[in-house]
Amino acid sequence: MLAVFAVILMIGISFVFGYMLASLKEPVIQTSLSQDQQSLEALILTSNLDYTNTSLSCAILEAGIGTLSNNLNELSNELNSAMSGSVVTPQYSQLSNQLTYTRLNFWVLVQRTNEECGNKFVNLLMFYPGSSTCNGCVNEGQELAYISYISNYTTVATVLNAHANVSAVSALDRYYNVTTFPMLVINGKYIVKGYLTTPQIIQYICKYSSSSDLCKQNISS
Amino acid sequence: MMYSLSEIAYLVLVILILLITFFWLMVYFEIFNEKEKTRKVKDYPKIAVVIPTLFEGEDLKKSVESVKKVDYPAQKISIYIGLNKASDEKTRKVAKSLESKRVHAIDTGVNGKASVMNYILKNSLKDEQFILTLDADSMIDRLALKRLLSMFDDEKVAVVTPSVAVYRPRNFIEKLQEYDYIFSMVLRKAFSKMDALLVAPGPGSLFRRSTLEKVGYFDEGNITEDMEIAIRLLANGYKIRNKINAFTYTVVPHTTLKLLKQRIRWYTGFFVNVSRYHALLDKEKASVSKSVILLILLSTALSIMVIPELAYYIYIDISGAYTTVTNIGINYLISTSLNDLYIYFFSFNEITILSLITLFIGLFYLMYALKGMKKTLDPVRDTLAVGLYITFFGYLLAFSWFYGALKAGMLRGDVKWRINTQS
Repeated sequence: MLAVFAVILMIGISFVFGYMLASLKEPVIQTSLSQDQQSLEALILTSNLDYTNTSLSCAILEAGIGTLSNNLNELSNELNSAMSGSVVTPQYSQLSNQLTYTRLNFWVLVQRTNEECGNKFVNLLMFYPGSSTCNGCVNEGQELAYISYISNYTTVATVLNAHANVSAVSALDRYYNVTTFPMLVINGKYIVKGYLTTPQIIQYICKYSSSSDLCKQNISS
Repeated sequence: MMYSLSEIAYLVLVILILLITFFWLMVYFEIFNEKEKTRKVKDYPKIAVVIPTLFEGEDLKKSVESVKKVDYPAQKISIYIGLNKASDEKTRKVAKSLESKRVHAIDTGVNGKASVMNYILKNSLKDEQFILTLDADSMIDRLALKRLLSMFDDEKVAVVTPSVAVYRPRNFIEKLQEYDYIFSMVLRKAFSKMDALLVAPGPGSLFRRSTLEKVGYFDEGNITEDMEIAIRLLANGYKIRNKINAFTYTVVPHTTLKLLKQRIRWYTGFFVNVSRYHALLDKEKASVSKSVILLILLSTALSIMVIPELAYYIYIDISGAYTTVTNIGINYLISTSLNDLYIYFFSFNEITILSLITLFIGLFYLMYALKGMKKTLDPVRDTLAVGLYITFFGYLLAFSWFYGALKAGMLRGDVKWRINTQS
């Protein structure tokens, strides 16, 4: 009986500390997300002002998109880590939806920047399943972060949970017919299904966007 | 957010491990803090020391010499060295050289440890009331015999088992076993407190002769006759006691392969005997609680499960890292490692905390047992040894238990002693 009591006590302690940790993590994520949302809004505003000074706004967008891409990837990792294996998730679902929406807007902004500023970026969109297991999704996500890094953020990757409870994501799922995971969309047009190694991803990038710095560097094996 | 199935399974496993660790820890508290009920040895009954031998050679001398040095009236002890039919010339010569008024070397003409012991019990004993079994590569501590005898406080006590320690551990494998034997001493004491000690080890168990005769001696076809006799005694309503400060010393396997073979034999024997006698243990007269046996089996099952589960997580991590390194290269991973560490903080949650608590309690449980037996701890040496014990030795034990269970299942109780002739 004493052992049972001790175990109940330990479980209680774990959950109390788990809750305290979650309470510490949540505002950190919330603050980062708010900052990224503000950065995104600033970039969207800049893109809307292109009729006044196109070259200036494109330069601002180019600089801002790389940084924001990196920040959003990190925030996504932090939020996924915080959500995995925990029932003590006070506002995480709401944060997750907000982040998904922000990432989606970011992806649209990069598409628009490419149209208005002349394909400065390789815009990658990767879908992963939120609720089921996916062989290779984590690895492919890491590979995309790596490719962004070696391309000096001229390749930007947006990773989306295809099962997120966000209506815009459902619309994208239908539009791209997302059924297998991971699934990669290059520059909004070209779809590659299944897990890809880093050289394979670079090959596809060069196939569909030959002006990419990656192809000039001839990194692909 | 809800838990996934694998997370629920993991959580259940952690909670069960925590529960069982706490349970045994509380039994340990009792062991080390209560005064044991013993009987003062006034009259010195006659004791037969039975030493079955096969190829032990010179080691046999140490075994016999240790018996001669025990704190007990010499005239009350008779030593019977039982030679196997297959015993080699060297062992025979050593046995014959040890013969005296008190030491008898008996060529039994039979093979197998249990057969040799039975032969002596049936044909060679005189009027001894107690029988001390001693493996030919084992030694008894000077004070052990009186201490063992002091535990026969009840007619129902059929056997008192000692604490078996490793004799002069030298290499890495032997030193790890030294720790395993120390943990076993406390665990066996805990089992005996709950009337569920399922083994009367060969090195130094003291049997009441009349009881042994009543239950029909040792099972000659069993690979772990020391477990079989213990389970049979419990099934027949007898009690098995343990005297934690009565020490015997045994030579242990000095290579991993030999150790693995020994453990597989033990654990196969355990499963064979438990499955053979589980119906008998259900009998009303059995002096063992079914729930305790279930608890022991659950503890064993958890030990078997937890190690492969850990191995699975390690495999997932390593294979993920391997894929990343082969695809991306190590330099990028190193450059982002600090950031990864920061992100790792976000994965800390209630399950991580509970796992850490369980790990801490588990380590405390082992260190407490160690402190109880060794009295003083070397913080560096003992911590390192416990670390190696739960990693390297843990895997070896889990594999042996698992393989033993499989083998026992396949053999369905048909396990016999085989003697490999020495090359």
